[in-house]
Amino acid sequence: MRDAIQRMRLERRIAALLVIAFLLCAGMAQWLAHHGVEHRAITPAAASDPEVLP
Amino acid sequence: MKGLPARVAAYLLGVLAVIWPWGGFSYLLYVPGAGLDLIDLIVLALAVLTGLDLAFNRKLRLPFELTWPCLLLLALTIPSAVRRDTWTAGLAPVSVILFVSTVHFGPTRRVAKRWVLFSGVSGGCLAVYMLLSRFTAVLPVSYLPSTGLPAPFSHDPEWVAVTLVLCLVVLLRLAARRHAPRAVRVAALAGALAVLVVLLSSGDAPAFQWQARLAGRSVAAWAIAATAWWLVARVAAKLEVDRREQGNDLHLLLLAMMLLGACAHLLLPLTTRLPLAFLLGLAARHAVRRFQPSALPPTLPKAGVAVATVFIVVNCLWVLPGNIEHPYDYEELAARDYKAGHFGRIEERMAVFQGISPVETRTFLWRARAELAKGHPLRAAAWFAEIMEAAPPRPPLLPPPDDNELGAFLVRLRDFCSAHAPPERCPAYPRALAAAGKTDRAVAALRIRAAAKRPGREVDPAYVPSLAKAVAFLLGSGELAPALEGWSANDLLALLEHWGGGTGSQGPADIPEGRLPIVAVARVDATTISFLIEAAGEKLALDGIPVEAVDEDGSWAGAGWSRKEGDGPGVWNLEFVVPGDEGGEPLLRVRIAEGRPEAVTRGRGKARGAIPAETSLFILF
Repeated sequence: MRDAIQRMRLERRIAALLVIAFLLCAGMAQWLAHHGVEHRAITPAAASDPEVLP
Repeated sequence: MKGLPARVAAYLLGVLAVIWPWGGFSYLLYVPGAGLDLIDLIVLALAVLTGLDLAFNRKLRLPFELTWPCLLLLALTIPSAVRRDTWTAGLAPVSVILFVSTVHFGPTRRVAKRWVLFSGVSGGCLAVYMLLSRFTAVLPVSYLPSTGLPAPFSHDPEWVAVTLVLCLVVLLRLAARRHAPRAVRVAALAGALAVLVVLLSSGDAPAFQWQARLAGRSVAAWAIAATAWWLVARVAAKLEVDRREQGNDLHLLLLAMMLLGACAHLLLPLTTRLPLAFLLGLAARHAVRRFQPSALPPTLPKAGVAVATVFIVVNCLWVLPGNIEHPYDYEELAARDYKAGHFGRIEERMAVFQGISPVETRTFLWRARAELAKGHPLRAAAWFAEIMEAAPPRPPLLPPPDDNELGAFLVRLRDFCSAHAPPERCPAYPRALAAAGKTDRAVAALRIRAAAKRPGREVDPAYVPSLAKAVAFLLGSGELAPALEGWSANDLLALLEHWGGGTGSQGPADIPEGRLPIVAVARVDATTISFLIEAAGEKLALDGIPVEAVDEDGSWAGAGWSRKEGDGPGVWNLEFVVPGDEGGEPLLRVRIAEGRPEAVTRGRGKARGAIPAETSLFILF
């Protein structure tokens, strides 16, 4: 029982840290998008303005 | 009966584990009649089976700490999905249901491990397929219309890239397994290599955009995001804690895949993806040890995978009715765009297709239709002429236009030319007739036009051959010239003047009498401009200067022939100028000395769009 409670606490602590990391990650993407930083990580010679088909 | 939903659901989850990497190419998994792909159908079936199982057994195999975020997410996303009434909005609650179904019916750890490895193998097969379609152009490839990319990426390049990265992790792990058979390790390494080649060499995939939807979100959207983040974080935390207690390599694999998927979702503008919910569910099932599986799913559901393979092969070979996302389903998409008046989109679509297979007459027909609908009969006739002149590949990828379609286009072109005043300025119809080999009808149509007008002056009968050649050249059919040489010079000039709008002009006084007439004609074909300059039997021709993408009509104001002073007595230049990027640089310059065309120089100007008929002629008497 005690182990279970400890495990639950540990899970919550890790989850909270991960949520903070997610928030930072999303904030970084937002900052990059607003400051016009282009990234072509996978496709260096790419064209711009993709349009997705319906 | 009570255990049937669990058994079926476990089997379907096994199939889903193998085919989810193909989700980015949903047109390959298209199920005719249903209007959905195989993944969507499996997810819907899982949702129904979960409901049935809960109704029979009244027990959900999901811990409370994961249940409440799911319920909260459902409560938050269902109203939004109902209000917006779009498929994308509906994906969010469906993803939650898929997550619950996966945890509820999830397999044992041993089977889950196999499923994840099979996912990686399936991703490797996807990469091989993409490479084959890239280099052979026989298998269907997707494209993005505005970028003009005949890329082996799907309509959904970001998601395919994420899928491949996730599968790459699995393949690398499989290749690194010490106890795996050598053949398996080599195959995994080859698959990983294929994935890497696709990811790193796809220079023609579009640039990704950063996720920028964080700011300006509503409170509800923030609540949905926060709850989803908490759910993902909680599953990852469970995996991590479980890994510390009795970890195996699947823990690390799932953690890596989860975190990569989460990062991709946070950084890229991806909408909700069902496979991510499935993988999250698989990870949660792996982390939660307290529930026993309700049914033992097969390690590899062979029949299900065989059915999926059949769908992929069939959808590769044929465009099934209603499969509108199939890149070869140009017909239905083009018809839809045509009806909606999106002619630019038709042109983009066809141009992309021509990038894959340049001589497909079907694409020419659609471009001709689009040009005519936009009010460019000359360019429409030029594309029509391309259909007639082209030698399509054998066998063609697309069915060539049949006689009925060609006839219907000719009728539409004729009606257009008749309805738009003044009809005499529309050589498009006779040009299309001549291209179709209907020379007699073309000459008859020309005769009617010529008879309707008379030139303002009498023309020397000796000018007939030059004028006949000019008419034939303008119509793109040298076969017409002999028939036209039987005409009077007055009729030929009448025809040219009415197309060209007052083309006759006086030349410099120092041109020797025998050198007249000097005739210069520019003809715009589908993708090129050709020129003919003739003076008293001496001919200079320049064929096939490429024309760039079509611009709006107005950009051609000021285009046409002009006469410029030369560098000496009796020398002058004839220039064809187009307004373009180069600031009106001549596209063509002809040096004429003593009435003799001496040299043709290709200018630096760029040709764009359609040259109006009235600027394409220059006749000097």
